[in-house]
Amino acid sequence: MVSIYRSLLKLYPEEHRLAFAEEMFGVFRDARAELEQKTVRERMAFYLREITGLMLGVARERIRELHCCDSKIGGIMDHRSECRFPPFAIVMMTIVFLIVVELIAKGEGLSHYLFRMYTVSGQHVAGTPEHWDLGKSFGQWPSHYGLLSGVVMVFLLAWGAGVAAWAIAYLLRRTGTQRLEEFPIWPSSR
Amino acid sequence: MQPVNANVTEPVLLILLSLAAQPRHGYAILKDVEQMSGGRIRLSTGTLYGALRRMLEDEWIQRHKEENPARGRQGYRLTAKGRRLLEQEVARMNEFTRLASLRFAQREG
Repeated sequence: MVSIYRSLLKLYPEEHRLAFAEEMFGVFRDARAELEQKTVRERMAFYLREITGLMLGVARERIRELHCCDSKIGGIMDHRSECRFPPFAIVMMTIVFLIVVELIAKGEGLSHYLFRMYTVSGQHVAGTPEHWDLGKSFGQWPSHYGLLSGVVMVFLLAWGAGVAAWAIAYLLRRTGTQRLEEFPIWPSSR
Repeated sequence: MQPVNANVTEPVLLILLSLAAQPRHGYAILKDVEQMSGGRIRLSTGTLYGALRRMLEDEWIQRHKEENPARGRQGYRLTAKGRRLLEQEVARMNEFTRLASLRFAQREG
């Protein structure tokens, strides 16, 4: 239980952990040492209280981390003048999240479209073995795994866009000699 | 009757009271709070340190070096601001008690 408690302490934000984790662990150990004379019920109540308290504390500190700005704990911690997640960042995160969801939905739609385009539902594709009823099996695949196909499609599109961007950058690259040619020639020393 | 400060919950008040007499480390505060409340309030370590953190930030308490620091124990003591807040809160409760006694006496009389 002691090692579990110690592991759970790692869930706290780093700032809180550095300031209090050792101390909290010490207090937990002291309190636990007293349990030897207690009944099983009291022990269970103790562990339940400690774990619940710790998890609530973690949630509280994580929420504080999102909102808090200045932190000064008896001069032990550095004064932090900027929020880790200012309101602007939270708005941007929400927008990005919505864009990603929308992209996945579009990707899912695109995967449906592509599978319908290349397969004919319920028909055997010429040139393939008899038991390969591609139309039936692939025709239904996206509806069963819609989200997965959407994610895969977005990944493929993002990967394709990345490759294209890299190719453009590669084509437009300039060698060191080409860059040096742009430098003005220094006047010769008199 | 509102508390002097909205952050002064019952556990916080008991922690402040515990530190009013003398500086204490975390475990001693836990035991003292339990004893003062007659076993009614048993703070978990997570709750205690959440409260201590807020109180440190509000500068109601401060850390101080223990004479015999064992197991990374850290002592805490009241600041002047914390003591003032505690006194205000106790005065508010006294006023509340006086008012309540007065009303009860009126009803009986």
